[in-house]
Amino acid sequence: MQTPPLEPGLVYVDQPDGRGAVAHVVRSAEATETLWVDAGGAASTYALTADGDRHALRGVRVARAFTAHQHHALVRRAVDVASGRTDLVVVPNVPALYEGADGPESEYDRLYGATCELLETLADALDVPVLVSAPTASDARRDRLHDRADTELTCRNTPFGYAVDAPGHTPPGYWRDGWWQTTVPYWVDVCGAVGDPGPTTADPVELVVD
Amino acid sequence: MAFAVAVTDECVRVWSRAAGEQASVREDRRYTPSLYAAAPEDVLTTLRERLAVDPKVADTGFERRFTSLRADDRDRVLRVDCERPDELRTLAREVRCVHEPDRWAPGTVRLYDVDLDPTARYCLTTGTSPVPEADLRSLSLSLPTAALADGDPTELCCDGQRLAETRPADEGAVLRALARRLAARDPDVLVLSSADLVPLLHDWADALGVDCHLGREAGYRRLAGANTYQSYGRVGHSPARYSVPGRAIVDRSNSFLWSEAGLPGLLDLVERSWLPLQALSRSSIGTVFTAIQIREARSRDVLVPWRAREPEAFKPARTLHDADRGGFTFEPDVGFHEDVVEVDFASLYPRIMCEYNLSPETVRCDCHDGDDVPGLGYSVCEDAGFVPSVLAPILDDRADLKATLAEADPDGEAHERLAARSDALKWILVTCFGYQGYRNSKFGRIECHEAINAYAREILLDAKRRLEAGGWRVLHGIVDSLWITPRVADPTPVADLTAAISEAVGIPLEHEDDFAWAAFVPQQTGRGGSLTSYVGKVADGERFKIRGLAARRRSTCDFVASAQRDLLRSLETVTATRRPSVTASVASWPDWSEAPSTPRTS
Amino acid sequence: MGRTNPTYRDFLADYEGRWRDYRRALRHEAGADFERLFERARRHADAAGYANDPDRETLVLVSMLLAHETELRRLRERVAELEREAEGDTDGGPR
Repeated sequence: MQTPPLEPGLVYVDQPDGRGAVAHVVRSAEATETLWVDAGGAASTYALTADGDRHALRGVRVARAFTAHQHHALVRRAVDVASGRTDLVVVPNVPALYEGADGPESEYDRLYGATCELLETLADALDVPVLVSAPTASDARRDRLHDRADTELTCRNTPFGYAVDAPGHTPPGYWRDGWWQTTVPYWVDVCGAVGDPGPTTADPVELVVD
Repeated sequence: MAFAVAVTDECVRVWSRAAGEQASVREDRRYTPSLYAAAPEDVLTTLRERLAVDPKVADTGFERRFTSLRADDRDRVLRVDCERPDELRTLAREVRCVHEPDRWAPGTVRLYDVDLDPTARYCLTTGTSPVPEADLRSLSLSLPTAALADGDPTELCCDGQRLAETRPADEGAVLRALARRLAARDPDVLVLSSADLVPLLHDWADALGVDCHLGREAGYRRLAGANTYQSYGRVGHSPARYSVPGRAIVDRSNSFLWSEAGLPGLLDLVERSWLPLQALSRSSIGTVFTAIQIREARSRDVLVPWRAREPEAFKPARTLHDADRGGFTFEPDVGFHEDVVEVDFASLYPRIMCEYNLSPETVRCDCHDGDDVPGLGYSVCEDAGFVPSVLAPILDDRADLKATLAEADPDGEAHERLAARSDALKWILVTCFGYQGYRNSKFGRIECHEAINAYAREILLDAKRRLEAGGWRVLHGIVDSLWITPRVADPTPVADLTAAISEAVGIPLEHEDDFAWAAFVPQQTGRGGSLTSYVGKVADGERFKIRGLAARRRSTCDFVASAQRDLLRSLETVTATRRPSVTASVASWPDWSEAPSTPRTS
Repeated sequence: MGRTNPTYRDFLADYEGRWRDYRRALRHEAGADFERLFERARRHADAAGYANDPDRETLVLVSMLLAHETELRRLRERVAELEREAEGDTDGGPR
C-alpha cells in the first residue's frame, strides 16, 4: 500500500538524499527473493530492517562492489545468480564507482554504458522490476541511466518517513509502527472530494488531515 | 646478485659487486617485458592478429597460466612481449581503449602483469636476484632545505660533515671535495636528503666544468617528474625521482621505510619482495607487501590482475549483517587504576590468517561447504593459503629476530641492525590485514577481511573469559590488547593465564607491560570513555606509556605537551600520598610566548 | 573498502540526539538523570555492538536496565554493609 506496485522493467528511483530511500522501497515491495548489487554502502542491513525485525532480511541476497570493474562484473553475474524465485533486483548508486575511478575516463565511460545496457537486458531477461538510482552522479551519467528507465518512482522526505509517488499513483497511507497515517487521496477515495457528487455521500465531507 | 638495476628502452643494466671487488655492470639488450591477456579463444586469436602488426610488440604467444588465485586450472592466455619497457602500459591502455571497444564488450579482455615495478619485473622474469652479495658501502649527502630551494650547494654535508672548509665557500671547491669523497669511498648506495640533489649537483658540475658525478659513470636519468595528487581526500606530493649509473639512490625525504627501518630493514625487504633497493626505498608498505605477494603469485604461476575486478560473492543479507563488523573494543573503565597489567596478542591479524588459513582464495572456497568461520558460516579451504604462505616466514623470522634481540647487547651495532630488520617486518605485518579490505589491492577480498575480524572478536572474548576466571578484571581492551587488574586478592599469575590462552587459541598472548597505575580518559566531549586514549606509568621505571593524549599528538605544541607531561608526573605524588598536590608550575614550562607556532615534528 | 553498516556506538550517539526535544523540556534534576541514562547505555556499548541485533533500540534499553541492575546491586550491598555495621553497634553497645 505504501509504494506503488512495481512493474517489470527498469525502475528509476529518484531519491531525495543518498540514504535509505531504495531500502525503503525494497522493504515495502515484500518480494520473495531480492538480488541486491550494492555500491556506495546502500545495502545497510539496518535500513532494510527499519523496525529491527531480522526477518526483513530474509530472501535478500547482497554482493557489494568496491570498484567499477567489480560492479560491472556483479551486474553481469546477476543473471546467472538469479533463481526462478527472484522477483526483484536492486542496483542503487549505479554511477558511484565509475565516477572519478583511477584510469582513463573513456574506459570507465564505456564500462558504465555497458553496465546500463546490461541492467536493461537483465530486466527483460528476468522479467522483474530492476530498481536503479543515481543520487550522487554527474548529470550526464544520471541521464544515461534515467533515459533507459521504463518507469520512475519519486521518493520524498516527509515527517512520516519517505513517501513514494509514481505517475498516476499517490500512496493512500504510511505504515507507522502499528498504525496508519492516512493521506488525502485515501479519504478522497473513501468519501469523495468536496464538489465531487460522489454516489455514496449525500453531503460533501470536510476533511482535515495533517 | 645485483644491487642496482636500471631498465631503459635500450637495455637493462644490472650492477653487482662481490666482496672486496670492483663493481661491474652487465647489459641485457634482449629483454622484452610481457603482459598477458585472457579472453574467449576467438577474441584472443583476433587480438593476437591485431597486436602482431603493432610496432610496439616484439612477439606474441599462447601460454597456460592461472588467472586467479581461486582458479583450479590454468587458462590459455595470450602473452604479448613489448619492444620497449616504457611502452608496456601504453600498450595495455590501447588494448583497453582501442582494440576492445572496436569489437567486443567492455571487460571481455582481461589484462595481467601490467603495473609491476619495471626493475622488479626484470628480476622476477629473468631470475636475477636483487639481493646484494657484499656488504653495501653507503655515502650520505644532505643539504639544508633552504639551500636546496636556492640551488646553492655550498652547504652540502657528506656523512653529516660540511664539505666546504671555508665560509662562504665556493661551489667548485665543494664539488671537487665531493668527487674526492666519492672516489675514496666508491659507495654502492647514496643516501640523499632529497633526490633533487641529483640535478642540482650535476648542473653545477657541468656549469663549472668540474669532473664530479654521483654515479659510477657520468650522467643521470630522471625517472619521474614531481607530482601532486589526491588520495582519500588528502593532497600528497611525490617528488621527482632520479637514478644514476651504478648506485642505488635512497631519497630520505621520500622514504618511509628508510626512516623506520634503515638500510638493514630495507635489505631484508629486498630479499622478500625482490624489489631492488632503490625502488624499494621509495615504496609504501602496501607496495612492498604487494610485491612480496606478486613474487609468491609468480611462484604459483598466477598472473597479477591489472584492475581488481573479482567481486565478492552474493550472500544472504543476514550474513552481511553478521559479517560487516570490525574488531571488538571494550568500553574502557574510565578513571585511575592501580596495579594494571597489559597483555597483547602479538601480530594478531597476521597470525589469525596463518593459524586459520585465511586467504582470498580459501575463504568461501568452492570446494568445501563447511561452517568454519565463527558466526559467519563461511567455509575455509584446507589447501595451503596464499596469504598465509606469504606471512608465515615473516612471522617466524620476526619472532627469531626478537629472540636474538633479547640476547644481544642493547648498545651494540648488531642490536641496531636486528632492531631495524624487526621494525621493517613489523610494518609489513601491520599492513597485511588492512590490505585484505583495500579496494584496489591485487589480492584482497572483503570476505577474508570479514573472516579475520570474526576470529579476532572471538579470540579477544575468549581471552577475557579466561582472565576473569583467573581472578582478573578487564579494565579495557582494543582488538588485540587487554588491560587487566586483580579482581581477587590472589589471582592466578598472569604468566600461567597467558600460557593457557596462547595454547588454546594458537596465538601467543604476551605479557606486555606492568603499570603502577594507568588511567583511561573520557572523550573530550565528556561522553563516555575514549577508546584509544590512555596513559600508564610503567611499574619499575620512570617511563610513561601514552596513547592518544595531547602530549603524544603531533599537532600539539611544545608548551601544551610539556605541561601535560608535567601534570602526568604529578599524578605520581597522588599515588604516594593519596592526595592531590601542586607539583607542577607554569614557571617550569617553556616560555610559550617565544615558542614557534608550527606543530612539533617529533 | 569501508563498513556498510554504521557502528552501534555511532547509532547510540545518533539515537541520543533524537531525544533532544525531550531532554530540553526536562527540569534541571531530571535532566542530569537523563544524561546518566545514556551514559550508562554507553557503558555497555561493547556488548550491544557485539550482540549486533538489528533492533538497536532494544539493545539501548537493555543496556540501561543492566546499569540499573548494577546500581541496585551496589546499593543492596551497601545497605547490607550499613546494616551489619548498625547491628555491630547495637550488639556491642548499650540500648
